[in-house]
Amino acid sequence: MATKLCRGTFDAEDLAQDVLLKVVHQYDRLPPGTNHAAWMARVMRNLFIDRLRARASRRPAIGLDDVVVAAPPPEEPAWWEELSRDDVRAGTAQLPDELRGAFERFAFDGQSYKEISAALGIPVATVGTRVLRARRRLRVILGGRDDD
Amino acid sequence: MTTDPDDLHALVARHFDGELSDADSARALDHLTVCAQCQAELGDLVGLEVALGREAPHADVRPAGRSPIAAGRRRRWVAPVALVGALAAAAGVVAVVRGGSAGKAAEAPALALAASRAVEVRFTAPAFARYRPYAVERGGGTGEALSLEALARLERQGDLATLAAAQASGGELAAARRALAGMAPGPGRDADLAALELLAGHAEDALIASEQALAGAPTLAAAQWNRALALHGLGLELVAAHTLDQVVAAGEPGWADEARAKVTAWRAALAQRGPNSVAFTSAARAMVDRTGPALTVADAIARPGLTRLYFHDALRGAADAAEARALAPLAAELDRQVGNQLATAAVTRVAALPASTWTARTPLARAYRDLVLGRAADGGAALVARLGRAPAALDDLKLGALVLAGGPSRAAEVERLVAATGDPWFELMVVRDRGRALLTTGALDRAEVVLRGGYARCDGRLWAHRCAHLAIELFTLYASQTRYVEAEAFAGEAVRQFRASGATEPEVTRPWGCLGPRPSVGGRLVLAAATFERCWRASASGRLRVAAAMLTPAAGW
Repeated sequence: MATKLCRGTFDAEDLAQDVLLKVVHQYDRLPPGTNHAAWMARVMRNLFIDRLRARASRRPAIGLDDVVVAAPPPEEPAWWEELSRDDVRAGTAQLPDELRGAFERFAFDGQSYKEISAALGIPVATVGTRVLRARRRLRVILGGRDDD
Repeated sequence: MTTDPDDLHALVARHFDGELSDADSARALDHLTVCAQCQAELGDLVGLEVALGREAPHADVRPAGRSPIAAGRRRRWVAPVALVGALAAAAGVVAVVRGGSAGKAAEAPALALAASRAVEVRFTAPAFARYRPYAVERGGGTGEALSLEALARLERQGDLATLAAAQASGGELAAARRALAGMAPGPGRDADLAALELLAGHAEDALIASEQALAGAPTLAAAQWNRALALHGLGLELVAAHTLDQVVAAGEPGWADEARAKVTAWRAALAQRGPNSVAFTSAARAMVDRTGPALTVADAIARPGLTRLYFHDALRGAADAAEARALAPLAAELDRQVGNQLATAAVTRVAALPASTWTARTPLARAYRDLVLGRAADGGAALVARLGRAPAALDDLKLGALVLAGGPSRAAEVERLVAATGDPWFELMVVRDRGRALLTTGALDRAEVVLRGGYARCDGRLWAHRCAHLAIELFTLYASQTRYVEAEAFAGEAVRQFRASGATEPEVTRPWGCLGPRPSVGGRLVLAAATFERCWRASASGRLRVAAAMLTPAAGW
């Protein structure tokens, strides 16, 4: 996950390590029943965005203690917190054919845009559009918000 | 840097997927720091990834020689994927190239588009005006991908029409809608809005927008094009084809050919729809013209209203007794339906006319055929004049000619002739005309009394065709007075009567304006916003609420 967030910016392992430290520091304060994976993902996203902000404001890289992490639960659970891979697969089955084709290859077969482009005979940019649209639809299908 | 959230959303996602160059990643992440929406979407990306349980990046973007954690060392990974825009260009999709000498940022870039277009609709932006064939994508298509650089440049230049067209062609409808919202109002924007509504699957809204565009610019090709697609989407193939005929006639290279192909296909599809189609009308006209046999009992059962209309025309147009007698089976069926003998009596009376009467009647009957079939250049004026001196034996012809030639000055004579027939079929027509005339003069109270009195005779489906028209007038009356409850009730009555008359096909259930809050556009009445039934359904669901709908009957009723 960290590698995906950090491409070309920060060291992914550093970010992952910071997340783990945060987990260690706050683990005891998490309410029972907390979805740990989901919470960690949130922490990671928040740390990542905070680092970006720090970089943008030209402040020196800040340490863990300076980072304000969004409060862990009680916060309304994110739409994806309880979802499994199978849930996503079931949601994917409801996508229109062309979105499903691109997204399945991307998410479940691990193919890159370029590989999907070659396999489906469509431009790489179109692959990107389809994957993006597939994700947005999945958010709706799987119980997320519909911002349109 | 563009500030369009949709574009940057796309960038953020592609960064996350490892599909961006360093430069584009930097742009994406710079924006991410200030965009709450992007951050939220990033949360979604992360969450989906968690759900998928996929931690490893894709093989082709995983950096070579990945090392374990090195404290204090900051490493940058280089994604080996080229610029999205460059890839798009290489794939022949969309690219922005500069016109003229390179390198001058002030020069307007020319938008170089793919050889084919991904959407069927038309946009007004000049870059999209050149014809490109429509390439249908399987499953609906995600459109043409446009480089983010191109979109950003268009936005910077304030070329919102091109930006909207590009975004819409790429499937980014929300962004395109925002771009349109920034444009100055006018026919161009309305035509583009119609395109957007079509892409969004809102044919009614597309029709309204294109009507508005055409009100300001009657020959705007993009508006005509989109209007035709909207009409077709609403099931109004005939009107749609008629609209597209104008594009064919305009003769724009490429567009005219595609329009011709569409029109041909639409008309062919209509012709294959059995009795409720163009085929029925053709057969009915052939009966009147004696180039074909009489309509059948099956026709009369399927389309009682229109069959009765054409039956009377055919009887008036009979050139001799034999032609009149040939209509007897049809008359018997029509009589059976309404429980009287009036149609049969009419056939018998005409067939029994003496030879001396036929001498005068035959040429007038042929002239009447011409009038019915649209071949009378003067709209029937000469025929009406000739029939003015005709004996009572030709009263049926006179009635038909007066009705077709129309005009309020003839109303009294029509009423006299109708009274002599004693036929509810004609009497209800008179009620409608009387009510309509009162409506026109603003005598709404009297119009209501007349029309409601007539509609009181509409019991069951005996005279469904006529009663549908009465219901339409009552709907108009109440809608114009914003008496929505009654208006909707009669809208429902009209639908019920139309169905009972068998007039369920679009070319018969003529398009009716149903524009809600806009009684007219540009000072002219608006035709064909939707079928009457569609208006009714929309009002019932509360979406259009009928409101001050303008009901403008298409020619031919």
